[in-house]
Formats: sequence, C-alpha cells, structure tokens
Amino acid sequence: MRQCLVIGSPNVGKTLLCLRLAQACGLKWAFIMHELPDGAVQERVLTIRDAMVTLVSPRRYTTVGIQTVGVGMSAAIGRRLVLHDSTGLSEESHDDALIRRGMARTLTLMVQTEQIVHVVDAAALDKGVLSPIDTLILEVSRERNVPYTLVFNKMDAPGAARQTELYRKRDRRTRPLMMSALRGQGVDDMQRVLSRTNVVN
Amino acid sequence: MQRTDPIIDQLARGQLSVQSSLEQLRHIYRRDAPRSRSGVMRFGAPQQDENALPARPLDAGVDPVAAKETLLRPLRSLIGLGEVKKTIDELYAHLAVQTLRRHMGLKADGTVLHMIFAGRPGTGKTTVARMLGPVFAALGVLTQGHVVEVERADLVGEYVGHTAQKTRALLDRAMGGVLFVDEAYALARGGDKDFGREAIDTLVKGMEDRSGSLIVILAGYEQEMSYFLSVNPGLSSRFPVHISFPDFTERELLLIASRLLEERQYRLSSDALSALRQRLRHERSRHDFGNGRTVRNVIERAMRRQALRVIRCAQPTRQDVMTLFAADFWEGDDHASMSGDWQSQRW
Repeated sequence: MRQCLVIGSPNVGKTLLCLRLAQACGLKWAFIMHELPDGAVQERVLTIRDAMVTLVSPRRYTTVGIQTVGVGMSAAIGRRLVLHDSTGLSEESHDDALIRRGMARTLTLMVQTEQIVHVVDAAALDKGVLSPIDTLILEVSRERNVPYTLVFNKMDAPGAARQTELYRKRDRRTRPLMMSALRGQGVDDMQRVLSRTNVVN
Repeated sequence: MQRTDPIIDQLARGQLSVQSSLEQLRHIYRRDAPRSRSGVMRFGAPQQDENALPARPLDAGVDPVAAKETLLRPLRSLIGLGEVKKTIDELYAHLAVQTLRRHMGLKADGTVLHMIFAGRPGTGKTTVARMLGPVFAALGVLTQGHVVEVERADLVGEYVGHTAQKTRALLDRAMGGVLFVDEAYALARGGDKDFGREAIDTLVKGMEDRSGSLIVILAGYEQEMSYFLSVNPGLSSRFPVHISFPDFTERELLLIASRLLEERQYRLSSDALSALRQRLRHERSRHDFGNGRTVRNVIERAMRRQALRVIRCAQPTRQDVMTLFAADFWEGDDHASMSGDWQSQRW
C-alpha cells in the first residue's frame, strides 16, 4: 500500500479531491477511516455520493484529524494507494487545541509518507505567489525528495486562471496540476500523475 | 526518537506556529540532504549528533524565559537599586515576550530602548549599563552587545565640523551595542554657540538612522538631566526609558563595603565595623558624597593606612595583613597615635 498525504491550507478542497479520485478509480463505496485528533479511530463505509455530502462543506475545518481513503489506483499493477486526507494547515486556528493536534498529525504524516499531494486554492493566490505556509510545504517536500504534486484546485472560481498564469510566469520549475474538484474537472490528469509515479517508484 | 518529533510536539502544544515548525522541518532536511547519497532519503534513522536541533527556533540563541536568571544574575547581585532592578525586569519581560511572539509567528514591535540614567555619582549607572549590553545581545535586540563609554570630550570637537565627525565615528563604533554617554548634560552646558549642541543633533540623527541596531544611554545627575531634557525638546520623547538611580541607604553602603572587603580578602576587626559605619554616615552628609565610589575610596584609604601600619611591624602575620582596625578608618589622625593605638590592641 502506497501512502500518500494530501496536504494544504484549510478549505482548499482536499477532502473532495480525495473522493473525486476514488470516484475516478471506479469506486462506488469508499472505505473511510477517520482518525480523530485524540487518537480514536472511526471506520465508515459510505457511498462516494454520501461521503461528498457528509464530509465536504464550504466551512473551514470540516476535516479535523486525518481521514484515510483507500483508493484502488490501477488494477493492472495491483498496487493500491491510500490517501491521507489531512487537517488544513493554518496559523489562524492556532488556539484551538483539537485542530492544533490535527495539524501536528499532518506534519507527522508529512515526514513519513511516500508521496505528497499539495492542494492550493488557485483563486486565493496573491499575484501568483503562494502563501508562506504553502511555500514552506513545497520546500519541505522538495527537500524530502519524495514524489510531490502541486495541485491548483478551484480552477472554476473567478480569477483562478489569471493567478495560475501569473504563478507560471514566476515559477517555471513547478508545474501545477490544474483541476476543479467541485466540477470534477482535471481528475483524470491527477489520476494519471499518481499512477505514473506509482510505476516509476 | 526522531528529530522531527520535538517540533511536531511543540506545534501540538501550541508553542510553535505552523510556519516556524515547517521552517524547522525544512532546516532538518537541508542539513540531511548532503549526507544521503541517492534515492529517497531514509528518514528517522536514529542519529545522535551533538548539534541536534534545539527544541527552540533557530534564530534566537537562547530561550529568553529559561535563560532569564542566568542573564540577569550579575544585575541581581548588585546591592540595593531596587527600582532599577524592577524596571529592568519589566524591560526584560517585554523583550522576552516579543521574542516569543516572533517565534510563534506573531508581530513583534521594535521597541525603542534608548534610555536615560539619572542619579548621583557612584550610584551604579555605568555598572548597570555595562551589564545591560550582553543581556540585550542575548535577547537578540543588539547584535554585539558591547558598551562604548563616552563623555563630552569624546563627542565634541575643536573646530567647526569636527564634532559631527567625532560623534559619527563613535556612533559607528557603538553599532550593534550600547553607546553610554556619561555626564550627558555637559553637552548643553556651553550655550548656543557651543559645539555640544551639534553633538546632540548628530547623536539624535544617528539614533534615528541606526534605529534598532544601537541603544543610546544618557547618564547624569537627576537635576542636570531634567534641565538638559527641558532645554532640548524632542530629546525626552526619543529616550522613553527613564531609570533613576537613588542614593544608597546606610545599610546598603555597609553591604557594599563588606563585599568590597570580601573581594579584596580583607576583614574588619570587631571595632572597625562601627568605625566604618560612622565614617560612612559622616561621608553621606557631605554634599560631594559619591555613593559607591566613596565607599571604595574609604576602603582603599583604610587599606593604605593598614599597609603603613603593617610594614612597621616586625613580623606581620597573615592575620595582621588581612585585618583592618578602627583606627584605619579615622581621618586626620597622626601616625604616632595610630601606631600606639594599634600596639595597645595587638593580639
């Protein structure tokens, strides 16, 4: 089982992205292990549709703790991918002990997992520059030398295309993968990238 | 135990911001990077190197809260100066919290720390200034923490244009440290035509330009300093920290005297203590009383008198060389009676 961490700021669409991936892999049912920040583990089996309704919301911190979604990546290779959907990293909720522990768990996974998918809200970029926390996530992942994918989510939102363009002008080295988890666009690309890194490593 | 654990643990406990935890993680990997030759880095292998990452963020050398006692120990060991110590405690707490705030990713304001030390001579102004330099350096306010002590003659030049040049050179020398201007009121003494005024202006200008990397302390007598500040509007607002050094009480003077004697490995005979007390009380009533400095002078004078006495003695013992008698503290006695006194008290 390949461990993959989905990381990013709160409310950038990490959970929905995970579920979309599961859907794209042809799963009807998602086996979701919800690890709460206090260490308790909750296991749920939901249909993807139900999961999207219950686990996703426009609020920040819908996901507290780590949700693990098992995704069958490509049957031909026979290797499976486990997506760790994590608590969003942000400075503002620093005084909430529960969320803080969730964020600490996210960092633990960040130094352990074999692959990192970094989700950024493309519309929230400022002049095409990543936020300081996002920049650091990118740098730490690079230093760790694990397969890393930068995903620009919410490409459907106004201004996202322009920001992406600006970002590309600034940083030619990183090629962000553009998608809209809400509309289900770009999920195929994502799937391809993940399965490719699967083969390479 | 992985080296990343303390960082993540601190984040969970809310002592580290997300950003600085990520920065520290990056730092760990940066350092590991050249070591691993190829492929995916092996992480979490037990590595016990002595320069393991400190639990605190890296930019500050010390943990300001934990190091407080060590840093302030020299200051605490000073006798008296209760008010001064209290003010410096406040300053320290403020600066320490600012450092903590920075570590937690919050805004930390750059406090202006230029100070005025007002007090009579010998009340410890220079001593305290010398101790503050290293403390500020440890807190990261100053880069060097050295103390440059100057007075009017060092700042004021002999011809037009010389003053600014001299003052600027001194400011440059004090960069990253403390510039301590003793008897600062003397700069305003000579009237409008005096070069002292130019020195003040250059000083103020230099402080503004170099703000944040230099602390200027003006020291002098209480009354003269308040006059000095009143005739130079704008000065007192640029020196927000005002610390006044009160005169020492009689008890504190005696404590200072006994510490000086202890340092010099002398001791007092039983009657010498009351003689010293009387002498200090007498000195204290004089208008030119120099507080700590007077105590030192009294002690040193007594030591010279004792030396004179001992050298006349045929075979001085260890005890003789160490002990000060009451007679050593009496002023104006002629040597004959002193010697007689000593002989009568010989034991």
